[in-house]
Amino acid sequence: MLQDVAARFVAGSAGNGAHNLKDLLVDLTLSDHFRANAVDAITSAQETELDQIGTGKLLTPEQLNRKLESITGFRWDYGSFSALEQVYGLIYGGIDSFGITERATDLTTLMSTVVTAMANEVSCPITAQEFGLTQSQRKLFPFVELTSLPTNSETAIRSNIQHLHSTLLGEELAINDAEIDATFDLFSAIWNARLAANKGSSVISDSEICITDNVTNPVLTDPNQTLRSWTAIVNYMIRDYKFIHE
Amino acid sequence: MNRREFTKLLGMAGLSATAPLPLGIAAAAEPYSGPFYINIAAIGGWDVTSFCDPKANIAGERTINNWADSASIEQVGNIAYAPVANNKAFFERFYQDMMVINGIDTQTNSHDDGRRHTWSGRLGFGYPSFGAIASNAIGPELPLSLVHAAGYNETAGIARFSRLQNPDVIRNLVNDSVVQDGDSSYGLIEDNELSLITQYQDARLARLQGSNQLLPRQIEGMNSLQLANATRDDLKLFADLLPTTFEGGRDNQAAQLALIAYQSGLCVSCQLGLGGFDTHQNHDDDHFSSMAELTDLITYIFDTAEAGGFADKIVITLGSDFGRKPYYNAGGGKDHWRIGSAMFIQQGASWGNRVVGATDDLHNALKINPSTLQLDNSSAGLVLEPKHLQQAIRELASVDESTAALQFPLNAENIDFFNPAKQTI
Repeated sequence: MLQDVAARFVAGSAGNGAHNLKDLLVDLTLSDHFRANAVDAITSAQETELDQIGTGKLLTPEQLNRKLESITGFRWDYGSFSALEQVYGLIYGGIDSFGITERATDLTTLMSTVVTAMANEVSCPITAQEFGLTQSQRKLFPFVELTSLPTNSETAIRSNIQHLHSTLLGEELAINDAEIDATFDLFSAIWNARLAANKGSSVISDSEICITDNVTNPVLTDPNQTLRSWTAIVNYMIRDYKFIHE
Repeated sequence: MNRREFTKLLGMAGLSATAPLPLGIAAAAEPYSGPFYINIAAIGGWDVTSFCDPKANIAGERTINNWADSASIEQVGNIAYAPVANNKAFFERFYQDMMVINGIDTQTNSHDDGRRHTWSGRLGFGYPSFGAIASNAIGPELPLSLVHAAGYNETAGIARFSRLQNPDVIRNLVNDSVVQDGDSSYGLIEDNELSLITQYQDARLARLQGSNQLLPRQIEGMNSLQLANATRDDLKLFADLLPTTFEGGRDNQAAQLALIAYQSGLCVSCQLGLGGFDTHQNHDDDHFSSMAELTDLITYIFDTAEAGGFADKIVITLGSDFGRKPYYNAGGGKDHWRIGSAMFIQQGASWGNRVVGATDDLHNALKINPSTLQLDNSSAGLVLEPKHLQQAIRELASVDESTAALQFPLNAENIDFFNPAKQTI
């Protein structure tokens, strides 16, 4: 592969002149070595050779921050400080260019607390922000309303779950995929638990806050307990392997 | 659980591929109470001729040390030291617990190469730090097994290191379902719902791991996430020990957090470091200031450990990228010098109050006999290198025969470092 890329680089095969660095970088990022997402079969020797190949890289604090905002439209900030880049950046494997000059590439237990804190803190404001928009404006919930219940709108809910798997996790799943089933089961379990607990109609309560400082027109009423149920699904996905790796 | 093993190529021709090294199973480990290995780097190349390998000035030669024009080399027990900074208090307190290793040839003047050589025992790329080896051999499942604040952090994939920074931030992160606002705390999610989410996430991760089409990097990432999920609750042991006030200064705070991680039973080794030693200009003032901070840090570590009742568990390895030239440049600084020193400190060590290795009056490394430790200019003698230092610490920690250590052999000659009856005279 590298020899082919080198030959194209020398020849200027992209039509932008020989030895064009940008064309070289395009070739590399379009290669299977950079984009491979799976293998059909792999030997133990290939496991060593392909150790650094393909997808599955832990996102840096900066990359994860950009991904979160790009996909959800929500900025995880503490005041004017970015939570991922500035508050938790070093803990999450970033560098300070002094004593720490290399990024962490493996998730540690302590780093994982940043992921769970993120999921717990942003999932409600993201969801509240989404349902404050019209369906056509939404990034995450274009197929449901807060009146869409598991008892009367299962198809719409599954469609939206399918959309969330695609949008948040990069998974293109059939509507009857086992992962869709599992996520729907979780949604139903959360929803039923909230009904059984007689949860009130406000999104915010003594035991559950929703930090909406960075949100415009958040929905803060949840009489059907669906906003909090979708919040749980967003939480479930934001702490997922496929959200924090690319 | 789909437990997978994976290999890591060393990346150098002539070296055999590594055997699989299990990263650890996803289960909470027993609290650790063995020795705590603290590796402290004087970052930038330290002037050991003004520390543990003191040099007086030689008539007819360039000035090695300005302090030597008006002061003499001091000695306590068998250990000589330079009478600058806070050295007197430091050596007088710790000399009986200390082994000084002089005349280590790092074979480089490059910071990166020297750092790597000193802390891994190998000049080339790819070898893990001793901390990573200790973490893998002793406590791979511990959630804070290896803590890193500064310095060499290569793990070669055999361990994961954690960075302990702002303690308030850490406390908030460990209690991740609650947010603090001053003295008040607010829940973000109901416990039963969080439990459902984690239950479903664990099941999904297991399904992802069950695929037979995963890339090696994906397997490793999923394994890391699985282990992190299984051990995250253990961090509450650490959070419970965090005090409400912390030591000022980044270096003491890093040490304090590492000591707390050890006290919580979650940590085996840590890497700390202090900068300010790369004094190409204004050497004396700047370097001695950093040297004082370094000895103060070690003193702080033992003071804190003694207050906590575990000073006898502390094992410190002290070193640097390399040394500094035995003369000043035109700017009053000292440039890089491939010959340096290192130090082990352990309270009550039977091997304390000794010096192994030596340099001549102009700080050139001398050969010693690996068995007798005496100066030996014959073919039987050798100059100490970082591989000997790293082999020594592996032996001290009883991890020299571990799978991880054997996977990264040092090929170092046996040096009778820890024989209390021998030292280099």
